[in-house]
Amino acid sequence: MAVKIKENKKLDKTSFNFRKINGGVVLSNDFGCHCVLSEKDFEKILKGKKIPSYLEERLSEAGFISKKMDFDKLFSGWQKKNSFLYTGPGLNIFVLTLRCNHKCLYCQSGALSQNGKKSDMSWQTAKKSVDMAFSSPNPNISIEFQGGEPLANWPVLEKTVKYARKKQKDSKKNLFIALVSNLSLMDEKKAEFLLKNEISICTSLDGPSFIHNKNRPFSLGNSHSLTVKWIKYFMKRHDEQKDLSYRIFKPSALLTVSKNSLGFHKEIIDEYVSLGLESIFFRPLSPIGYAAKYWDKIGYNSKEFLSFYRKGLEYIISLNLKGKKISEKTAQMLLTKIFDFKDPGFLDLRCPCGASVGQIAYNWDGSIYTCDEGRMIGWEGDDFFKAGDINKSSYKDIINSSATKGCMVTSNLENQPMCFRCAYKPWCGVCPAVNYEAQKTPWGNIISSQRCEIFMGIFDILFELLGKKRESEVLKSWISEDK
Amino acid sequence: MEKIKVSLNKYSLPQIRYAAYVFTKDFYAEIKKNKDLCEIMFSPKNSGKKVSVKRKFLTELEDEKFRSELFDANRELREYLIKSALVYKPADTVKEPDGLTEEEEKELDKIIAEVEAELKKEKEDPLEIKKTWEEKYGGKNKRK
Repeated sequence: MAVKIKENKKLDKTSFNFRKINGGVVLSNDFGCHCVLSEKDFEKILKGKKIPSYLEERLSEAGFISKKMDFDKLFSGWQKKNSFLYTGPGLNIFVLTLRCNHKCLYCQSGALSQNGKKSDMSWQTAKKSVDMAFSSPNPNISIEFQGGEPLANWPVLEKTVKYARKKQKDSKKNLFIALVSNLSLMDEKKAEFLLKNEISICTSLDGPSFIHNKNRPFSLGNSHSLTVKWIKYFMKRHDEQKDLSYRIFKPSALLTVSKNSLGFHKEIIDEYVSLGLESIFFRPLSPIGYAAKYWDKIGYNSKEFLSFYRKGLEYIISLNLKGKKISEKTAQMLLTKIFDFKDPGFLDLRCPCGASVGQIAYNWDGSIYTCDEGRMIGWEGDDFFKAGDINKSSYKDIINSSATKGCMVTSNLENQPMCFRCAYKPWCGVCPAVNYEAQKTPWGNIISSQRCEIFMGIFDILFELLGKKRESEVLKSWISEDK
Repeated sequence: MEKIKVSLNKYSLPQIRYAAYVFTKDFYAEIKKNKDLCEIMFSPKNSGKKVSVKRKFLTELEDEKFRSELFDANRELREYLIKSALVYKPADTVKEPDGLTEEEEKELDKIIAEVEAELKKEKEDPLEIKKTWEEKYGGKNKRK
């Protein structure tokens, strides 16, 4: 196909974005290719001066020179990076109950008291939700049990797992089931069922007890002790597995960084290492739910978070250099995007975002939301992100809903004036739900978005560290670990 | 309030607007057009320490000029590339080797050639004209 291109003899470069960081200038293009140049070399490009042949070689390999483009390489890389565009939603969040026995300061789930108003998902709702999940064209289906505390609705959880495994056999799709739980209601019988049904266990661990218990008050005991007890139990079951007729996954833990965490990055990381956990996820607080309500007590600004992040990441790298195996999840996922051109399934950071087209949240009462954050906003009384109802809507209805379409338009980075010009655009994404909650519009005002400041800061830190030999080797070793 | 004047002969209005937008987290920006000049007024949102934004704004404006000219020059190419990437299908993969070494292949070719030659020979005399009486009938009609 002949392409008429405006003749521009001075500029034989394709379009790219750039950002000046400490130690150079990051260039990136639509294909997710990147190059880090010295300021001197970048000045030559800006002024249209002749550049050395080794530099021209580097730029042409990455698709920055319009006369020397390897179309096959660029197109296949683009498709790999955007493979999610060709499949339907894979992640299905089942909110089995809003009841919970913890009172976490940053709770986003709208948890109610354990003995409070009944808000359990019925078996009929769960069954229909499984059917809906399998109606997605995606051959890989994930079901993630959340709450409140999902173990509080054990009978429905148990039935749903059995039904979903049966659906898996009949449909010949791949099914991955995960449980996100505080583990306080776990016992041996439940553990046995979960393990035999190949359910991955994920919990929250905010660090040593003085931080964890402060963030996650549990009136019936010591939340930290129970969490650690069951992490060790599942770790032992994984390490000592003899019956290979089913897979036992290593348990994983999530960290939510609150004001209480700042200044204690070493203690938190050491806690994870001591339990044999190989990944730690420095998740910043989102201003949704109780976190928004108690922001003055537990919140922070982007500079404070980024200082914590940098120190934590540098400490993790130093541990790696001493032979300890631990990685930081955000860094791992971003590096996978940058170097492997793969989509790591980080639905919060995609263009367009994962709302409905990547994940669907099924509430206990049968309401269907574009995502878990949208469901939280629904709990607050605003159904802006409600995509349907399990008793009334088909899969097509959900994908065609205004909530879904609104999220697609507002999370398309081509439409965002700041993101369109950003060097980190190929690997980034916006969250309409966070924009809506923090800035009263799903569109957001990205220039003053704390979320944008945080992710831009993380990218800056990563590219700076990638410019240092030893740090770069450690960071790149994490890419192959990404599953 | 800080007033900055730039020439509309050097920068386009969209370039000025996008460059000014970068500073709207901390400043209100008002843009006024006056013939060939454009006046941008920055007022800080927080009435605290006075900080000049002129140098940073002019740097951002130069960067935006470069960026937008590059995008304009590549608009059609970019659209073509994205559309092609969306529907791209890789070419057929190269045929996988059958695992024979070069010598083994030569040996096999030789044997195949020999068999083909024999078959060809047989085919050349379909009516058995070249066969002798004895080969055909085994000495049946000997004269007495």
